[in-house]
Amino acid sequence: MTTVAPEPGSFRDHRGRVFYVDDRVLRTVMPVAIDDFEFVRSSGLVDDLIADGLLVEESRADEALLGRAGADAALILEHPRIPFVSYPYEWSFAALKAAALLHLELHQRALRKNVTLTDASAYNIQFLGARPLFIDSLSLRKYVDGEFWAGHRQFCEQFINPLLLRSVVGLSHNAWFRGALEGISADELSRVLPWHSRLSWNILTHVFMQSRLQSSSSHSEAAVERARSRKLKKIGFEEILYGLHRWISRLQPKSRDATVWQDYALDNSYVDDEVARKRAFIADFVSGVTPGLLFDIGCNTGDYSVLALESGAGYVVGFDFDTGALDHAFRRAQRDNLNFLSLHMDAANPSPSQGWMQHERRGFGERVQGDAIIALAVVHHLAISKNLPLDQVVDWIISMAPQGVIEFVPKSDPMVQRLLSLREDIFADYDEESFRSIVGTRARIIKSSDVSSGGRTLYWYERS
Amino acid sequence: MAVRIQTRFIAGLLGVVLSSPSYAYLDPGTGSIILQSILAGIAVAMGLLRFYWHRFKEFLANLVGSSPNVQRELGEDFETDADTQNDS
Repeated sequence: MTTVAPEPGSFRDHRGRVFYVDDRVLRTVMPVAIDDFEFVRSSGLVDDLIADGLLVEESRADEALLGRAGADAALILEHPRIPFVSYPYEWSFAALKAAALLHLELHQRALRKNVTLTDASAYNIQFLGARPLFIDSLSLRKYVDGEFWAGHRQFCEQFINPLLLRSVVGLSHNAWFRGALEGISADELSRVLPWHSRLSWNILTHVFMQSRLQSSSSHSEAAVERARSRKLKKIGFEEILYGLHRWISRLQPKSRDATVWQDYALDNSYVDDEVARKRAFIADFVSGVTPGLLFDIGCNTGDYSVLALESGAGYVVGFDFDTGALDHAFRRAQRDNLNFLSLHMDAANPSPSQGWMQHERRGFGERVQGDAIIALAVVHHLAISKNLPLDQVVDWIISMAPQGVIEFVPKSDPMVQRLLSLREDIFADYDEESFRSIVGTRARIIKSSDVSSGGRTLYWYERS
Repeated sequence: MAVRIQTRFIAGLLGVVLSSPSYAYLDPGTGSIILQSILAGIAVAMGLLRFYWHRFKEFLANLVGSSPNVQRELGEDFETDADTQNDS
């Protein structure tokens, strides 16, 4: 039985909507959009952007596939499925920057063909590994001579301002963006930026001036009328995009210091031989299972994600809450062109389903169904640092994939001792026997192996 | 070619604030529109400076015998082909 399900985040644009038909991704193109659709495609732009990997591929699909949902559409497009859908509040600084640069490059190339973009939503970009991909092919439309950049304010709110928060203030954008789904306004950001940031021409204009102009003009009918009658020359439009691209490509996080977890790979209680044993176990697991999609919970800078790819995993999505480690992981995937996407997540508080009808942006739990999972050096942090019941931690991990490897770190391990050094040990049941029994009642234990002299053990489970 | 680019810049610089309605799928905000009119003029002026700076560097390079390609250094954002139909 075929099921037709509308994408819950695709409702704002009257020009078309996205639907899922089983595993296929279909997009309606409504009659109102057909002139733009044909103009943009006849310009050759879409073919060029697809060929260069900037825009999602598309092909014409049978109209009958959508049934009644496609009855009013002028035509139906089919797109390839994105391996894992992510949102800007889950991206690292490096990923948000890459997405911003993609948006600007695409818009610059579009203008040369007399095409522009209806908006500048960061949600129109998805990642294939570390490669950003523009997915909303209907937001390309014919450029009207003299028109303004409609998406400028949105681009500031969803790209520039979140990047500046980290670049100038040193705070990551993730929590704020997740709370304010449409991004960070110029007015809000101008209140937290230091005074001296006005010395930057771009910050002065795109943040402070925009905020001031917006507040002084938005309630003035005369100002609105004047704004309505203004015109922007195309060369000015192009120069603004060019200037932003140049500026954003140079933005870096404020603190380049190593963050706590970035150094984890060096500063932990393993010795080389133990790392080798751990790597051999993971390589054995991944090559045995050959998962299409593997999750790496607590991926840090991505050492085991990369190992999983080398051992035969098709695509790896890693999660961590450390911003520095994520930037490192993202740049690594970018440099080596890996099928590895690293995302921000606090395991004790993953992304919720939110937005309009609380369903516009889907929660972590709705999206994570993979073929395999690895959760290395994670359980003790959740069970001890976060006081989460051990059985619930195991349930949570096992629910995400039918097969996986979970590492158990005993109390005697120096890392756990460090976690307990300033607090009372209230974890009487935290031991390997309990852990083995919890895993054993939920799944079959295929193999387990001590990987350190301190008693760290890896468990390979298969869900029954 | 250079004359054409120059004309294009000057026309752009002078014509930054003109009158014609635009349409948009989302509310661009009055602050953004006013800012864009201001920025466009300055950005075009800076582009013009950049253009002459590269011309100047080319002139110096020619004096010492090498001849860098101005178009390559400027990048594709400064097109010198016939893609000017909307800038008249």
